[in-house]
Amino acid sequence: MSPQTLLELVVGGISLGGIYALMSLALSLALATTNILNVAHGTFLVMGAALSTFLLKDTGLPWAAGLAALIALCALVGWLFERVCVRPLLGRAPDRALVGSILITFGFALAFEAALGFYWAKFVDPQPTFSLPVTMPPFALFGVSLSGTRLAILAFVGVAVLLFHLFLTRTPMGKMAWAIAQDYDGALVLGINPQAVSVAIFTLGILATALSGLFFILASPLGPHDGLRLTLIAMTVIVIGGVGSLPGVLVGGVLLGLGDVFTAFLVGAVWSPVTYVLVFFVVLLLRPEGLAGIRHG
Amino acid sequence: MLEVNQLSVTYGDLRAVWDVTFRVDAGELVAIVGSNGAGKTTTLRAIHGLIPTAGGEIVFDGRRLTGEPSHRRVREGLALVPEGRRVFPHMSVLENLEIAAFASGARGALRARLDEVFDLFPVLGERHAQLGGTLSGGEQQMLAIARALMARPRLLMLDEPSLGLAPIVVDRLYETIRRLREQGLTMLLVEQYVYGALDLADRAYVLETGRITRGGSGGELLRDDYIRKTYLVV
Amino acid sequence: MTPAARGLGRWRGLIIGTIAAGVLLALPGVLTRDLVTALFFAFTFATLALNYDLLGGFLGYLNLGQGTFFGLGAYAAFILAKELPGIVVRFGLPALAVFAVLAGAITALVAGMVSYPLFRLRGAYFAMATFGLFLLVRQLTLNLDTLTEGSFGIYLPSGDYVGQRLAYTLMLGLAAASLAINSAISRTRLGMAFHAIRESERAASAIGIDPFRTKQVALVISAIPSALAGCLFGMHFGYVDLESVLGIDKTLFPVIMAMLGGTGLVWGPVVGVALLRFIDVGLKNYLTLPVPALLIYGLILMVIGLFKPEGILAGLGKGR
Repeated sequence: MSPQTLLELVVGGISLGGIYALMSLALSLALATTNILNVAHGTFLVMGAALSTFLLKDTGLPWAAGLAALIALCALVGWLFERVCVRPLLGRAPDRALVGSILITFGFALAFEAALGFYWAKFVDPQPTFSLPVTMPPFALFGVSLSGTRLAILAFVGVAVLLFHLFLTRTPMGKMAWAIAQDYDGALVLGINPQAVSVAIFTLGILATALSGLFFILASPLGPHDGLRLTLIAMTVIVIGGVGSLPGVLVGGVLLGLGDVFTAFLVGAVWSPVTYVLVFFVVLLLRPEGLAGIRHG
Repeated sequence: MLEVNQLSVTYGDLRAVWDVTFRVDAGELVAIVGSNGAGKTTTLRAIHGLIPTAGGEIVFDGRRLTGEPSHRRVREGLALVPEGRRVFPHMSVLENLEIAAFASGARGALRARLDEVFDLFPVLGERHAQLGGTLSGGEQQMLAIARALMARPRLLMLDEPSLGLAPIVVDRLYETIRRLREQGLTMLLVEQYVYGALDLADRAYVLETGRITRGGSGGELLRDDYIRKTYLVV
Repeated sequence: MTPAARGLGRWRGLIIGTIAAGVLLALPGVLTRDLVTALFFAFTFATLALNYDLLGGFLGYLNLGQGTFFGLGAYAAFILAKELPGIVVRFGLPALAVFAVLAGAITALVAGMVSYPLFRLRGAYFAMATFGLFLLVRQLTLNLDTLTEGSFGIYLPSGDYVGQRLAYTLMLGLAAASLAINSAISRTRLGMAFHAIRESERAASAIGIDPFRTKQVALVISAIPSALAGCLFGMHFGYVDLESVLGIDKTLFPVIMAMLGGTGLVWGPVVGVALLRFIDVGLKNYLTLPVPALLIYGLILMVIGLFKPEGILAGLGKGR
């Protein structure tokens, strides 16, 4: 393997991993603040990918307008999702909330993916694929050439993670969310409104995830049924890194991304989807304390 | 100030609290004592709105609290120091206090409240930059009480503050609670440490397997034979 | 209920069951082929739904990967048939039966082994992990094509498959057995252990129940009839491939059916099966809506989750 290839793989792995980490961060926060696992989380990344493809490529809108529309729509969807699917679950007793949350979010994921695949095939393209082949000039660093696309992805991830961090530590709403994530009851007795936090976290989280979808497809395409698989990836990252741990999620994401890329290179792309599930189960077996830091539903 | 009438709480099919009735008047320190599992924590959590009630009513300052979410009760002046402290482990003492002030709807006067709280608990002032998770049990308890006080509550409820603390620490804690009482703060204290609670309280009730079995002034109950035999280990 | 009344109730169930069984067994003689096939499908899903509910309803662990056992069983049997074609040709159906039993054993073993990592999780994590397992098995089936023929599927030598009447009867038997298993367990100490774990695992282990072992037993028990159903399913149609035995419907419908009918109740999944089959047939033949089927099923799941997670039977107040 030449140094160039190795570097490409590493950069590819880190940028993919960065997206995984960002997506997992949003899920982790949602989980920590509401105790609800959103099975449809990955579906929102696919939604972002689909909307991006549609608004930025297929409609011929100027990209600034398309981007604005994308952000507005995704935030709206996030808000609606919280309102319709999450809010009713917040007040319930734990076991009813659990069953309900799985049914609702899993049902949503299925329905959304089915609708997306069906109607995209019908109205846009019989072979639904979401991709934004934007060519960016390669970047020369220390005499080695790096893909501009990958660097753009890395830049996005870097900025997004930074914004998340600032949100949690500097803004009032973010601080309340961080508080609830650390101790639900402790936060409640202080007067923190869990519903207000839930709205903020889901709206922002889904928006961030959807935008990750946009950057994901700069590098590789996605199909309408990749959502549940992506949720599984996010869960694996959380299992590796721990809930609510920002550095943990980053590390986990990057590890998975690298694993994904190297597996595809070494044994073939068909084996990539297998890696993370295997990693998931292996990590589960190796963590004797179970999942310390994850609160159970 | 607080009236609890025929309060019942169930966990599924299990009735944890049965027709509990008591009251707390302004300026009083009322204690509810009982052994483990008697339903004390359940009662407090129900009053604060953290768990739903299966019957009865809770009246605070003439207002019925039924159905009101927990965070709104805090704004009305009802504060709870929960069992197990529940401080935020990854936030500093100062951040814990700040978010408490913010969450309760306090605008401005943050500095003043911080000063009051550091005056009551000097050790918190010393350790204001330390993370909540690294404090000792006693310090965490102080932080928990301080947090609740940031809301300038009209009624402060304390859930087993002495739990898991060494006797010396408990004594110091109770000193502070005494000080708060002298300052006129109305309090509802729930404890397994029966002697300390009865000694401190103006009035008290005894809770056994979800029912109130006795009530009276702190002194009366301290002299009561049954209580001495059951709860005051001689 | 007084002991007398309870005893009578048990007999009543048995009597009704026997009459129903008799009726059902006679049906292939009077109904059209299509209807018999429809009932065959119903029994298949009934088996899956009942097996699912053992873990999902009784224990409170939602297994979104019940279809894994169905597919594993089917593929295991067919791989054996593929590797040993001579035996199939020579012995015919009895050979297939032996392969089915072996496949069931293999699947039970897999269920036992996969319990170790799976039961480190609870709640929604467990659910997602089981779904991940399902996706993994699907992917492996696709990738290991020297073994599984990948996307082409494995076919039985022509003529050597289970005829309609036999398949119908056997699948009815599997469904009835699953029902009997659930019913029996609900009445024994094992059922009480399940219930205890569902209420509080900590309390359960405090009174001497081994939560892991109990859960593992439940998973293995729930895997076996499903695996056998998978074998039978494949052997009736003469082939297995990714969509027929590892399709998402096999893992999804059992959940919907159990939830719809009443999770945790012995007869709940059966009611759910009837309802869903009704909806499915209605959608396919009468209400040609311009929407994909999975959209409808997803919406159904959401509605159940939002309004009636306990299921219809529970709402009607019927007990076990």
